[in-house]
Amino acid sequence: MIVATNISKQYEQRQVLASIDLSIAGSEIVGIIGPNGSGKSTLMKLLSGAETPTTGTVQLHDKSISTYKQKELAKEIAVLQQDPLPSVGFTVREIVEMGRYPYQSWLGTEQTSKHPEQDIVTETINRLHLQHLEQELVDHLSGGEKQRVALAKVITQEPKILMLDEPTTFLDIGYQLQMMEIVKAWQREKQLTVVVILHDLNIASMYCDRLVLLKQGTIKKIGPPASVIDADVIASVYETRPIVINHPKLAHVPQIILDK
Amino acid sequence: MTKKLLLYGGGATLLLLFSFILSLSIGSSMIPINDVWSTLLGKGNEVTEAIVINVRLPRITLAILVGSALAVAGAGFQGILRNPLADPYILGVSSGASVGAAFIILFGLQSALFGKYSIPVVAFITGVLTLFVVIKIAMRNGQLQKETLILSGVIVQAFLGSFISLMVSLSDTVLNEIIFWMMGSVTMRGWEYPQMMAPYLLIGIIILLTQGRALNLFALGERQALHLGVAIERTKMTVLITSTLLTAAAVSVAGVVGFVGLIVPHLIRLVVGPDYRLIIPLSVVVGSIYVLWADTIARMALMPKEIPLGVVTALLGAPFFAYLLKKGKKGINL
Repeated sequence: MIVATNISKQYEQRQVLASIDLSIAGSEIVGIIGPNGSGKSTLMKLLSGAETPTTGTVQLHDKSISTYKQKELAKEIAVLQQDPLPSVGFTVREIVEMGRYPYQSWLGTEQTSKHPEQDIVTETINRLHLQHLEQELVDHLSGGEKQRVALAKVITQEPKILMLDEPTTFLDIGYQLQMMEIVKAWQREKQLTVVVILHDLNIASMYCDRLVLLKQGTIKKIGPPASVIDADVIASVYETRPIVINHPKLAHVPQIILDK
Repeated sequence: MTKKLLLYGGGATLLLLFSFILSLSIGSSMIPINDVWSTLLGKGNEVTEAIVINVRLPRITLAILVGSALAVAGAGFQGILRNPLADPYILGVSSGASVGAAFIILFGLQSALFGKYSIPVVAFITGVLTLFVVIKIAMRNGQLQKETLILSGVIVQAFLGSFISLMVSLSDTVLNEIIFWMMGSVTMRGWEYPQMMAPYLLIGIIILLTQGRALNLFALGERQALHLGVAIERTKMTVLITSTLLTAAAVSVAGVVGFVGLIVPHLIRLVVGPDYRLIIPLSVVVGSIYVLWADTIARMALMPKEIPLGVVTALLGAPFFAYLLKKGKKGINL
Protein backbone atom coordinates (compact mmCIF):
# COMPACT_ATOMS: atom_id res chain seq x y z
CA MET A 1 0.00 0.00 0.00
CA ILE A 2 2.61 2.55 1.08
CA VAL A 3 6.04 2.05 -0.39
CA ALA A 4 8.88 4.41 0.47
CA THR A 5 11.90 3.98 -1.76
CA ASN A 6 15.24 5.38 -0.70
CA ILE A 7 13.75 8.49 0.90
CA SER A 8 15.77 11.12 2.71
CA LYS A 9 14.91 14.47 4.21
CA GLN A 10 17.12 17.45 4.73
CA TYR A 11 16.17 20.71 6.48
CA GLU A 12 18.65 23.42 5.47
CA GLN A 13 21.97 21.72 6.24
CA ARG A 14 20.62 19.14 8.64
CA GLN A 15 20.08 15.58 7.40
CA VAL A 16 17.11 14.20 9.34
CA LEU A 17 16.44 10.99 7.41
CA ALA A 18 18.73 9.12 5.05
CA SER A 19 18.05 6.33 2.54
CA ILE A 20 14.99 4.76 4.14
CA ASP A 21 13.29 1.87 2.38
CA LEU A 22 10.00 0.82 3.89
CA SER A 23 7.01 -1.07 2.62
CA ILE A 24 3.80 -1.22 4.61
CA ALA A 25 0.98 -3.34 3.26
CA GLY A 26 -2.21 -4.97 4.39
CA SER A 27 -3.74 -5.19 7.79
CA GLU A 28 -0.97 -4.70 10.33
CA ILE A 29 0.12 -2.39 13.09
CA VAL A 30 3.59 -1.02 12.44
CA GLY A 31 5.30 0.74 15.32
CA ILE A 32 7.99 3.35 14.74
CA ILE A 33 10.33 3.60 17.70
CA GLY A 34 13.66 5.26 18.38
CA PRO A 35 15.28 7.86 20.60
CA ASN A 36 14.41 11.59 20.54
CA GLY A 37 15.62 13.19 17.34
CA SER A 38 15.96 9.92 15.44
CA GLY A 39 13.51 11.13 12.74
CA LYS A 40 10.28 9.34 13.73
CA SER A 41 7.96 12.31 13.23
CA THR A 42 9.70 13.34 10.02
CA LEU A 43 9.26 9.82 8.65
CA MET A 44 5.55 10.00 9.44
CA LYS A 45 5.25 13.40 7.76
CA LEU A 46 6.76 11.94 4.60
CA LEU A 47 4.64 8.76 4.71
CA SER A 48 1.44 10.78 5.24
CA GLY A 49 2.20 13.23 2.45
CA ALA A 50 2.39 16.26 4.77
CA GLU A 51 5.91 16.92 3.47
CA THR A 52 7.81 15.78 0.42
CA PRO A 53 11.12 13.91 0.71
CA THR A 54 14.32 15.64 -0.42
CA THR A 55 15.19 12.54 -2.44
CA GLY A 56 13.35 9.29 -3.13
CA THR A 57 9.66 8.59 -3.56
CA VAL A 58 6.64 7.66 -1.47
CA GLN A 59 3.99 5.70 -3.34
CA LEU A 60 0.45 5.08 -2.22
CA HIS A 61 -1.36 2.35 -4.21
CA ASP A 62 1.38 2.52 -6.90
CA LYS A 63 0.87 6.26 -7.37
CA SER A 64 3.14 9.00 -6.08
CA ILE A 65 1.60 10.39 -2.92
CA SER A 66 2.24 13.98 -4.06
CA THR A 67 -0.14 13.54 -7.01
CA TYR A 68 -3.16 12.97 -4.73
CA LYS A 69 -5.63 15.77 -4.21
CA GLN A 70 -5.80 16.70 -0.55
CA LYS A 71 -9.35 15.40 -0.13
CA GLU A 72 -8.59 12.13 -1.91
CA LEU A 73 -5.56 11.65 0.32
CA ALA A 74 -7.66 12.35 3.41
CA LYS A 75 -9.98 9.49 2.42
CA GLU A 76 -6.98 7.16 2.38
CA ILE A 77 -4.86 8.35 5.29
CA ALA A 78 -5.90 9.85 8.62
CA VAL A 79 -3.38 11.25 11.07
CA LEU A 80 -3.79 11.68 14.81
CA GLN A 81 -1.24 13.99 16.34
CA GLN A 82 0.15 13.90 19.85
CA ASP A 83 -0.92 17.38 20.93
CA PRO A 84 -4.43 17.31 22.31
CA LEU A 85 -7.16 19.30 20.58
CA PRO A 86 -6.75 23.06 21.04
CA SER A 87 -9.44 25.00 22.89
CA VAL A 88 -11.57 26.10 19.99
CA GLY A 89 -15.09 26.52 21.30
CA PHE A 90 -16.58 23.68 19.26
CA THR A 91 -18.67 20.94 20.83
CA VAL A 92 -17.58 17.30 20.87
CA ARG A 93 -20.09 16.44 18.19
CA GLU A 94 -18.97 19.30 15.95
CA ILE A 95 -15.36 18.12 16.19
CA VAL A 96 -16.30 14.52 15.36
CA GLU A 97 -18.34 15.74 12.37
CA MET A 98 -15.21 17.45 11.00
CA GLY A 99 -13.93 13.99 10.12
CA ARG A 100 -16.47 13.95 7.26
CA TYR A 101 -14.86 16.93 5.51
CA PRO A 102 -13.16 14.89 2.75
CA TYR A 103 -16.53 13.43 1.73
CA GLN A 104 -18.40 16.73 1.55
CA SER A 105 -18.95 18.90 -1.49
CA TRP A 106 -18.44 22.63 -1.27
CA LEU A 107 -22.05 22.95 -0.24
CA GLY A 108 -21.32 20.81 2.79
CA THR A 109 -23.34 17.80 1.68
CA GLU A 110 -21.95 14.29 1.33
CA GLN A 111 -21.14 13.16 -2.19
CA THR A 112 -20.77 9.42 -2.01
CA SER A 113 -20.88 7.47 1.17
CA LYS A 114 -22.37 4.19 2.18
CA HIS A 115 -23.46 5.67 5.48
CA PRO A 116 -25.61 8.69 5.85
CA GLU A 117 -23.36 11.20 7.58
CA GLN A 118 -25.21 11.47 10.87
CA ASP A 119 -25.16 7.69 11.36
CA ILE A 120 -21.43 7.26 11.37
CA VAL A 121 -20.94 10.30 13.59
CA THR A 122 -23.43 9.03 16.16
CA GLU A 123 -22.11 5.48 15.85
CA THR A 124 -18.56 6.62 16.55
CA ILE A 125 -19.59 8.83 19.46
CA ASN A 126 -21.37 5.86 21.04
CA ARG A 127 -18.52 3.51 20.30
CA LEU A 128 -16.04 5.73 22.17
CA HIS A 129 -18.52 6.34 25.00
CA LEU A 130 -18.73 10.06 24.38
CA GLN A 131 -22.55 10.30 24.37
CA HIS A 132 -22.74 12.15 27.65
CA LEU A 133 -20.19 14.70 26.41
CA GLU A 134 -21.69 15.18 22.94
CA GLN A 135 -22.83 18.77 23.47
CA GLU A 136 -19.95 19.79 25.77
CA LEU A 137 -17.28 22.16 24.51
CA VAL A 138 -13.99 20.32 23.99
CA ASP A 139 -12.32 23.11 25.97
CA HIS A 140 -13.85 21.71 29.15
CA LEU A 141 -12.65 18.13 28.72
CA SER A 142 -9.68 16.41 30.34
CA GLY A 143 -6.61 15.47 28.30
CA GLY A 144 -7.72 11.85 28.03
CA GLU A 145 -11.23 12.78 26.91
CA LYS A 146 -9.87 15.23 24.34
CA GLN A 147 -7.67 12.51 22.87
CA ARG A 148 -10.71 10.23 22.64
CA VAL A 149 -12.59 12.96 20.77
CA ALA A 150 -9.65 13.38 18.41
CA LEU A 151 -9.67 9.62 17.83
CA ALA A 152 -13.42 9.71 17.16
CA LYS A 153 -12.86 12.41 14.53
CA VAL A 154 -10.26 10.22 12.84
CA ILE A 155 -12.59 7.18 12.90
CA THR A 156 -15.41 9.13 11.19
CA GLN A 157 -12.88 10.00 8.52
CA GLU A 158 -13.05 6.30 7.50
CA PRO A 159 -9.45 6.04 6.30
CA LYS A 160 -7.77 2.90 5.05
CA ILE A 161 -4.51 3.81 6.72
CA LEU A 162 -4.28 5.32 10.18
CA MET A 163 -1.17 7.13 11.38
CA LEU A 164 -0.72 8.03 15.02
CA ASP A 165 2.05 10.30 16.24
CA GLU A 166 2.68 9.41 19.89
CA PRO A 167 -1.02 9.08 20.69
CA THR A 168 -0.41 8.11 24.31
CA THR A 169 2.25 10.61 25.36
CA PHE A 170 0.05 12.86 27.47
CA LEU A 171 -2.10 10.08 28.93
CA ASP A 172 -1.96 8.12 32.18
CA ILE A 173 -1.40 4.36 31.96
CA GLY A 174 -5.11 3.54 32.13
CA TYR A 175 -5.89 5.83 29.21
CA GLN A 176 -2.81 4.62 27.30
CA LEU A 177 -4.08 1.06 27.29
CA GLN A 178 -7.67 2.13 26.59
CA MET A 179 -6.47 4.17 23.61
CA MET A 180 -4.43 1.29 22.18
CA GLU A 181 -7.28 -1.20 22.76
CA ILE A 182 -9.71 0.99 20.82
CA VAL A 183 -7.23 1.38 17.98
CA LYS A 184 -6.51 -2.33 17.87
CA ALA A 185 -10.19 -3.34 17.91
CA TRP A 186 -10.95 -0.87 15.09
CA GLN A 187 -7.90 -2.03 13.14
CA ARG A 188 -9.00 -5.68 13.34
CA GLU A 189 -12.61 -4.88 12.44
CA LYS A 190 -11.82 -2.78 9.34
CA GLN A 191 -8.58 -4.54 8.38
CA LEU A 192 -6.77 -1.21 8.58
CA THR A 193 -3.12 -0.47 8.20
CA VAL A 194 -1.88 1.36 11.28
CA VAL A 195 1.44 3.18 11.60
CA VAL A 196 2.12 4.41 15.09
CA ILE A 197 5.00 6.29 16.69
CA LEU A 198 5.48 5.14 20.27
CA HIS A 199 7.92 6.14 22.97
CA ASP A 200 6.94 3.39 25.35
CA LEU A 201 8.69 0.25 24.13
CA ASN A 202 6.54 -2.06 26.23
CA ILE A 203 3.33 -0.74 24.70
CA ALA A 204 4.95 -0.95 21.25
CA SER A 205 5.86 -4.57 21.93
CA MET A 206 2.36 -5.45 23.14
CA TYR A 207 0.38 -3.93 20.29
CA CYS A 208 2.52 -3.85 17.16
CA ASP A 209 2.93 -6.62 14.58
CA ARG A 210 6.14 -5.07 13.32
CA LEU A 211 8.55 -2.51 14.71
CA VAL A 212 10.76 -0.07 12.84
CA LEU A 213 13.67 1.06 15.02
CA LEU A 214 15.26 4.34 13.93
CA LYS A 215 18.65 5.69 14.91
CA GLN A 216 19.92 9.05 13.66
CA GLY A 217 17.70 9.04 10.60
CA THR A 218 18.31 5.49 9.41
CA ILE A 219 16.56 2.18 10.07
CA LYS A 220 18.59 0.25 12.60
CA LYS A 221 16.34 -2.78 12.78
CA ILE A 222 12.97 -3.82 11.42
CA GLY A 223 10.90 -6.87 12.30
CA PRO A 224 8.50 -8.42 14.81
CA PRO A 225 8.82 -7.20 18.42
CA ALA A 226 10.56 -10.41 19.45
CA SER A 227 13.51 -9.56 17.21
CA VAL A 228 13.67 -5.78 17.81
CA ILE A 229 13.09 -5.63 21.56
CA ASP A 230 16.38 -7.27 22.36
CA ALA A 231 18.85 -6.12 25.00
CA ASP A 232 21.76 -5.78 22.55
CA VAL A 233 19.72 -3.98 19.89
CA ILE A 234 18.16 -1.56 22.39
CA ALA A 235 21.54 -0.91 24.02
CA SER A 236 23.10 -0.04 20.66
CA VAL A 237 20.42 2.60 19.98
CA TYR A 238 19.38 4.06 23.33
CA GLU A 239 22.75 4.07 25.09
CA THR A 240 21.34 2.25 28.07
CA ARG A 241 21.10 -1.49 28.58
CA PRO A 242 17.72 -2.70 29.85
CA ILE A 243 16.76 -6.12 31.07
CA VAL A 244 14.49 -7.87 28.58
CA ILE A 245 12.03 -10.50 29.79
CA ASN A 246 9.06 -12.26 28.26
CA HIS A 247 5.67 -10.96 29.25
CA PRO A 248 4.49 -13.36 31.96
CA LYS A 249 1.01 -13.65 30.42
CA LEU A 250 1.47 -12.99 26.70
CA ALA A 251 3.47 -15.22 24.41
CA HIS A 252 6.19 -13.70 22.19
CA VAL A 253 5.83 -10.29 23.78
CA PRO A 254 9.16 -9.12 25.18
CA GLN A 255 9.06 -6.39 27.82
CA ILE A 256 11.90 -4.27 29.06
CA ILE A 257 12.81 -3.40 32.60
CA LEU A 258 15.06 -0.41 33.06
CA ASP A 259 18.39 -1.12 34.70
CA LYS A 260 20.72 1.50 36.14
CA MET B 1 -26.23 24.55 12.47
CA THR B 2 -28.94 25.13 9.84
CA LYS B 3 -31.44 25.93 12.59
CA LYS B 4 -29.07 28.43 14.15
CA LEU B 5 -28.40 30.05 10.78
CA LEU B 6 -32.11 30.42 10.07
CA LEU B 7 -32.77 31.79 13.53
CA TYR B 8 -29.94 34.32 13.76
CA GLY B 9 -29.78 35.02 10.03
CA GLY B 10 -33.54 35.58 9.86
CA GLY B 11 -33.47 37.82 12.92
CA ALA B 12 -30.55 39.87 11.62
CA THR B 13 -32.13 40.24 8.18
CA LEU B 14 -35.36 41.50 9.71
CA LEU B 15 -33.36 43.97 11.77
CA LEU B 16 -31.55 45.12 8.63
CA LEU B 17 -34.83 45.62 6.81
CA PHE B 18 -36.26 47.55 9.73
CA SER B 19 -33.11 49.70 10.00
CA PHE B 20 -33.16 50.32 6.27
CA ILE B 21 -36.71 51.68 6.27
CA LEU B 22 -36.21 53.65 9.46
CA SER B 23 -33.01 55.22 8.23
CA LEU B 24 -34.72 56.22 4.97
CA SER B 25 -37.32 58.03 6.98
CA ILE B 26 -35.04 59.99 9.33
CA GLY B 27 -32.87 62.92 8.30
CA SER B 28 -32.93 66.65 8.11
CA SER B 29 -36.51 66.37 6.96
CA MET B 30 -38.42 63.55 8.62
CA ILE B 31 -40.54 61.45 6.32
CA PRO B 32 -43.17 59.15 7.86
CA ILE B 33 -42.57 55.42 7.40
CA ASN B 34 -45.80 55.08 5.40
CA ASP B 35 -44.57 57.65 2.92
CA VAL B 36 -41.20 55.87 2.67
CA TRP B 37 -43.02 52.68 1.76
CA SER B 38 -45.23 54.26 -0.86
CA THR B 39 -42.24 56.13 -2.33
CA LEU B 40 -40.25 52.91 -2.55
CA LEU B 41 -43.20 51.31 -4.31
CA GLY B 42 -43.22 54.20 -6.80
CA LYS B 43 -46.29 56.01 -5.44
CA GLY B 44 -44.59 58.94 -3.71
CA ASN B 45 -44.81 62.62 -4.49
CA GLU B 46 -41.98 64.63 -6.02
CA VAL B 47 -40.54 65.82 -2.72
CA THR B 48 -40.35 62.43 -1.02
CA GLU B 49 -39.05 60.91 -4.21
CA ALA B 50 -36.22 63.44 -4.40
CA ILE B 51 -35.22 62.89 -0.78
CA VAL B 52 -35.79 59.15 -0.39
CA ILE B 53 -34.86 57.82 -3.82
CA ASN B 54 -32.25 60.28 -5.03
CA VAL B 55 -30.48 61.35 -1.84
CA ARG B 56 -30.93 58.80 0.93
CA LEU B 57 -31.33 55.53 -0.92
CA PRO B 58 -27.97 55.54 -2.75
CA ARG B 59 -26.17 56.67 0.38
CA ILE B 60 -27.79 54.00 2.54
CA THR B 61 -27.19 51.35 -0.11
CA LEU B 62 -23.51 52.27 -0.16
CA ALA B 63 -23.34 52.15 3.64
CA ILE B 64 -24.86 48.65 3.54
CA LEU B 65 -22.44 47.45 0.87
CA VAL B 66 -19.39 48.92 2.61
CA GLY B 67 -20.45 47.46 5.96
CA SER B 68 -21.00 43.97 4.62
CA ALA B 69 -17.75 44.01 2.62
CA LEU B 70 -15.63 45.11 5.57
CA ALA B 71 -17.23 42.76 8.08
CA VAL B 72 -17.03 39.66 5.90
CA ALA B 73 -13.44 40.52 4.89
CA GLY B 74 -12.59 40.88 8.57
CA ALA B 75 -14.02 37.42 9.24
CA GLY B 76 -11.90 36.04 6.39
CA PHE B 77 -8.68 37.61 7.67
CA GLN B 78 -9.36 36.41 11.21
CA GLY B 79 -10.12 32.90 10.00
CA ILE B 80 -6.82 32.58 8.19
CA LEU B 81 -4.52 34.60 10.43
CA ARG B 82 -6.00 33.23 13.67
CA ASN B 83 -5.19 36.47 15.40
CA PRO B 84 -7.75 38.37 17.46
CA LEU B 85 -6.34 41.68 16.19
CA ALA B 86 -6.73 40.75 12.53
CA ASP B 87 -8.98 43.11 10.60
CA PRO B 88 -9.37 44.00 6.91
CA TYR B 89 -6.55 46.52 7.19
CA ILE B 90 -3.98 44.31 8.94
CA LEU B 91 -2.12 43.46 5.73
CA GLY B 92 -1.82 47.07 4.65
CA VAL B 93 -4.62 47.23 2.08
CA SER B 94 -6.02 50.44 3.54
CA SER B 95 -2.60 52.13 3.62
CA GLY B 96 -2.02 51.13 0.04
CA ALA B 97 -5.39 52.49 -1.03
CA SER B 98 -4.78 55.68 0.97
CA VAL B 99 -1.46 56.29 -0.75
CA GLY B 100 -3.21 56.09 -4.11
CA ALA B 101 -6.06 58.35 -3.04
CA ALA B 102 -3.78 60.89 -1.33
CA PHE B 103 -1.60 61.03 -4.43
CA ILE B 104 -4.60 61.78 -6.63
CA ILE B 105 -5.91 64.44 -4.27
CA LEU B 106 -2.48 66.03 -3.73
CA PHE B 107 -1.82 66.48 -7.43
CA GLY B 108 -5.41 67.38 -8.23
CA LEU B 109 -5.91 64.44 -10.59
CA GLN B 110 -9.47 63.70 -9.42
CA SER B 111 -10.87 63.83 -12.90
CA ALA B 112 -7.70 63.42 -14.95
CA LEU B 113 -7.21 59.68 -15.10
CA PHE B 114 -10.51 57.82 -15.14
CA GLY B 115 -13.00 60.63 -15.10
CA LYS B 116 -14.85 60.88 -11.83
CA TYR B 117 -13.74 57.37 -10.91
CA SER B 118 -10.09 58.37 -10.55
CA ILE B 119 -9.89 58.06 -6.77
CA PRO B 120 -11.70 54.74 -6.40
CA VAL B 121 -9.93 53.11 -9.34
CA VAL B 122 -6.45 54.19 -8.27
CA ALA B 123 -7.12 53.44 -4.59
CA PHE B 124 -8.39 50.00 -5.50
CA ILE B 125 -5.31 49.24 -7.59
CA THR B 126 -2.79 50.47 -5.03
CA GLY B 127 -4.67 48.64 -2.28
CA VAL B 128 -4.56 45.31 -4.08
CA LEU B 129 -0.93 45.83 -5.15
CA THR B 130 -0.03 46.27 -1.49
CA LEU B 131 -1.30 42.80 -0.68
CA PHE B 132 0.86 41.27 -3.38
CA VAL B 133 3.93 43.06 -2.02
CA VAL B 134 3.11 41.85 1.49
CA ILE B 135 2.63 38.25 0.29
CA LYS B 136 5.83 38.44 -1.73
CA ILE B 137 7.79 39.49 1.36
CA ALA B 138 6.21 36.83 3.57
CA MET B 139 6.44 33.86 1.19
CA ARG B 140 8.95 31.14 2.12
CA ASN B 141 9.32 28.06 -0.11
CA GLY B 142 5.85 28.50 -1.53
CA GLN B 143 4.30 28.67 1.93
CA LEU B 144 2.77 31.50 3.91
CA GLN B 145 3.34 31.52 7.64
CA LYS B 146 0.74 33.60 9.37
CA GLU B 147 3.14 35.25 11.83
CA THR B 148 5.48 36.32 9.02
CA LEU B 149 2.50 37.53 7.04
CA ILE B 150 1.23 39.75 9.86
CA LEU B 151 4.70 41.19 10.46
CA SER B 152 5.23 41.87 6.81
CA GLY B 153 1.84 43.63 6.74
CA VAL B 154 2.85 45.80 9.69
CA ILE B 155 6.13 46.76 8.01
CA VAL B 156 4.53 47.67 4.70
CA GLN B 157 1.81 49.59 6.53
CA ALA B 158 4.38 51.64 8.45
CA PHE B 159 6.29 52.36 5.27
CA LEU B 160 3.21 53.46 3.34
CA GLY B 161 1.92 55.39 6.36
CA SER B 162 5.02 57.55 6.29
CA PHE B 163 4.34 58.26 2.62
CA ILE B 164 0.82 59.37 3.43
CA SER B 165 2.11 61.63 6.19
CA LEU B 166 4.65 63.06 3.77
CA MET B 167 1.95 63.85 1.22
CA VAL B 168 -0.31 65.35 3.87
CA SER B 169 2.56 67.55 5.09
CA LEU B 170 3.39 68.68 1.57
CA SER B 171 -0.12 69.80 0.84
CA ASP B 172 -1.37 73.06 2.30
CA THR B 173 -4.62 73.50 0.52
CA VAL B 174 -5.85 69.96 0.14
CA LEU B 175 -4.80 68.70 3.55
CA ASN B 176 -8.35 68.56 4.81
CA GLU B 177 -9.54 66.64 1.81
CA ILE B 178 -6.93 63.91 2.25
CA ILE B 179 -7.63 63.55 5.94
CA PHE B 180 -11.37 63.51 5.42
CA TRP B 181 -11.03 60.86 2.75
CA MET B 182 -9.07 58.70 5.16
CA MET B 183 -11.67 59.07 7.89
CA GLY B 184 -14.25 57.50 5.63
CA SER B 185 -17.60 58.64 4.31
CA VAL B 186 -20.45 57.43 2.14
CA THR B 187 -21.96 60.83 1.49
CA MET B 188 -22.67 62.36 -1.93
CA ARG B 189 -21.61 59.32 -3.90
CA GLY B 190 -24.70 58.90 -6.07
CA TRP B 191 -25.62 55.56 -7.62
CA GLU B 192 -22.37 55.01 -9.50
CA TYR B 193 -20.38 53.89 -6.47
CA PRO B 194 -22.81 51.27 -5.20
CA GLN B 195 -23.15 49.98 -8.75
CA MET B 196 -19.40 49.80 -9.17
CA MET B 197 -19.00 47.93 -5.92
CA ALA B 198 -21.91 45.51 -5.98
CA PRO B 199 -20.45 42.92 -8.39
CA TYR B 200 -17.19 42.56 -6.42
CA LEU B 201 -19.15 42.24 -3.28
CA LEU B 202 -21.47 39.57 -4.58
CA ILE B 203 -18.68 37.41 -6.00
CA GLY B 204 -16.50 37.91 -2.95
CA ILE B 205 -19.22 36.95 -0.51
CA ILE B 206 -20.14 33.85 -2.47
CA ILE B 207 -16.51 32.71 -2.52
CA LEU B 208 -16.08 33.27 1.21
CA LEU B 209 -19.35 31.45 1.97
CA THR B 210 -17.88 28.31 0.39
CA GLN B 211 -14.80 28.48 2.67
CA GLY B 212 -16.64 28.33 6.01
CA ARG B 213 -16.05 24.64 6.68
CA ALA B 214 -12.39 24.82 5.71
CA LEU B 215 -11.90 27.79 8.04
CA ASN B 216 -13.45 25.77 10.86
CA LEU B 217 -10.81 23.09 10.34
CA PHE B 218 -8.06 25.74 10.49
CA ALA B 219 -9.12 26.15 14.14
CA LEU B 220 -7.57 22.74 14.82
CA GLY B 221 -4.23 23.88 13.44
CA GLU B 222 -2.95 23.88 9.87
CA ARG B 223 -1.49 20.37 9.96
CA GLN B 224 -4.73 18.84 11.26
CA ALA B 225 -6.68 20.72 8.60
CA LEU B 226 -4.30 19.35 5.99
CA HIS B 227 -4.85 15.75 7.09
CA LEU B 228 -8.61 16.30 7.04
CA GLY B 229 -8.38 17.20 3.36
CA VAL B 230 -8.00 21.00 3.28
CA ALA B 231 -5.66 22.28 0.57
CA ILE B 232 -3.97 24.64 3.03
CA GLU B 233 -2.03 27.02 0.82
CA ARG B 234 -4.79 27.27 -1.77
CA THR B 235 -7.40 28.04 0.88
CA LYS B 236 -5.19 30.71 2.44
CA MET B 237 -4.63 32.38 -0.91
CA THR B 238 -8.31 32.20 -1.88
CA VAL B 239 -9.50 33.73 1.37
CA LEU B 240 -6.76 36.36 1.60
CA ILE B 241 -7.17 37.55 -1.97
CA THR B 242 -10.96 37.56 -1.82
CA SER B 243 -10.99 39.44 1.49
CA THR B 244 -8.48 41.92 0.10
CA LEU B 245 -10.58 42.58 -3.00
CA LEU B 246 -13.61 43.19 -0.80
CA THR B 247 -11.64 45.52 1.45
CA ALA B 248 -10.11 47.39 -1.45
CA ALA B 249 -13.55 47.81 -3.05
CA ALA B 250 -14.94 49.23 0.19
CA VAL B 251 -11.99 51.52 0.93
CA SER B 252 -11.78 52.83 -2.60
CA VAL B 253 -15.37 54.10 -2.52
CA ALA B 254 -15.73 55.06 1.14
CA GLY B 255 -12.26 55.68 2.54
CA VAL B 256 -10.90 54.00 5.65
CA VAL B 257 -13.92 53.14 7.76
CA GLY B 258 -12.34 51.58 10.81
CA PHE B 259 -13.36 49.06 13.43
CA VAL B 260 -16.23 47.42 11.52
CA GLY B 261 -14.15 44.56 10.18
CA LEU B 262 -12.53 44.00 13.55
CA ILE B 263 -15.51 43.91 15.87
CA VAL B 264 -18.43 42.64 13.81
CA PRO B 265 -17.01 39.09 13.42
CA HIS B 266 -15.96 39.09 17.10
CA LEU B 267 -19.39 40.26 18.12
CA ILE B 268 -21.00 37.43 16.18
CA ARG B 269 -18.54 34.98 17.73
CA LEU B 270 -19.54 36.10 21.20
CA VAL B 271 -23.15 35.24 20.41
CA VAL B 272 -23.05 32.18 18.14
CA GLY B 273 -19.62 30.66 18.80
CA PRO B 274 -16.69 29.87 16.51
CA ASP B 275 -18.47 28.28 13.52
CA TYR B 276 -17.47 30.09 10.30
CA ARG B 277 -20.46 28.63 8.48
CA LEU B 278 -22.42 31.05 10.68
CA ILE B 279 -19.87 33.83 11.14
CA ILE B 280 -19.44 34.55 7.43
CA PRO B 281 -23.11 34.94 6.41
CA LEU B 282 -23.99 36.74 9.64
CA SER B 283 -21.06 39.15 9.16
CA VAL B 284 -22.58 40.24 5.88
CA VAL B 285 -25.85 41.21 7.51
CA VAL B 286 -24.59 42.54 10.84
CA GLY B 287 -21.83 44.56 9.13
CA SER B 288 -24.51 46.21 6.99
CA ILE B 289 -26.62 47.10 10.00
CA TYR B 290 -23.60 48.46 11.85
CA VAL B 291 -22.43 50.84 9.13
CA LEU B 292 -25.99 51.79 8.23
CA TRP B 293 -26.63 53.06 11.76
CA ALA B 294 -23.18 54.57 12.09
CA ASP B 295 -23.83 56.58 8.95
CA THR B 296 -27.30 57.59 10.09
CA ILE B 297 -25.75 58.90 13.30
CA ALA B 298 -22.93 60.53 11.33
CA ARG B 299 -25.42 62.59 9.36
CA MET B 300 -27.85 63.25 12.23
CA ALA B 301 -25.87 63.82 15.43
CA LEU B 302 -24.44 67.29 14.76
CA MET B 303 -26.81 68.39 12.02
CA PRO B 304 -26.26 70.19 9.72
CA LYS B 305 -22.59 69.24 10.12
CA GLU B 306 -21.57 65.68 9.30
CA ILE B 307 -19.26 63.60 11.46
CA PRO B 308 -16.80 61.41 9.52
CA LEU B 309 -18.15 57.86 9.33
CA GLY B 310 -14.91 56.28 10.58
CA VAL B 311 -15.15 58.40 13.71
CA VAL B 312 -18.64 57.14 14.51
CA THR B 313 -17.90 53.46 13.87
CA ALA B 314 -15.08 53.54 16.41
CA LEU B 315 -16.66 55.97 18.87
CA LEU B 316 -19.74 53.77 19.27
CA GLY B 317 -18.15 50.44 18.53
CA ALA B 318 -15.33 50.48 21.05
CA PRO B 319 -17.41 50.90 24.22
CA PHE B 320 -20.12 48.54 22.98
CA PHE B 321 -17.53 45.91 22.21
CA ALA B 322 -15.81 46.40 25.57
CA TYR B 323 -19.15 45.79 27.24
CA LEU B 324 -19.80 42.59 25.29
CA LEU B 325 -16.28 41.33 25.92
CA LYS B 326 -16.83 41.74 29.63
CA LYS B 327 -20.33 40.22 29.68
CA GLY B 328 -20.08 37.63 26.92
CA LYS B 329 -20.43 34.01 27.99
CA LYS B 330 -18.95 32.22 25.04
CA GLY B 331 -15.61 34.02 24.93
CA ILE B 332 -13.67 34.60 21.76
CA ASN B 333 -12.46 31.54 19.95
CA LEU B 334 -10.99 32.35 16.60
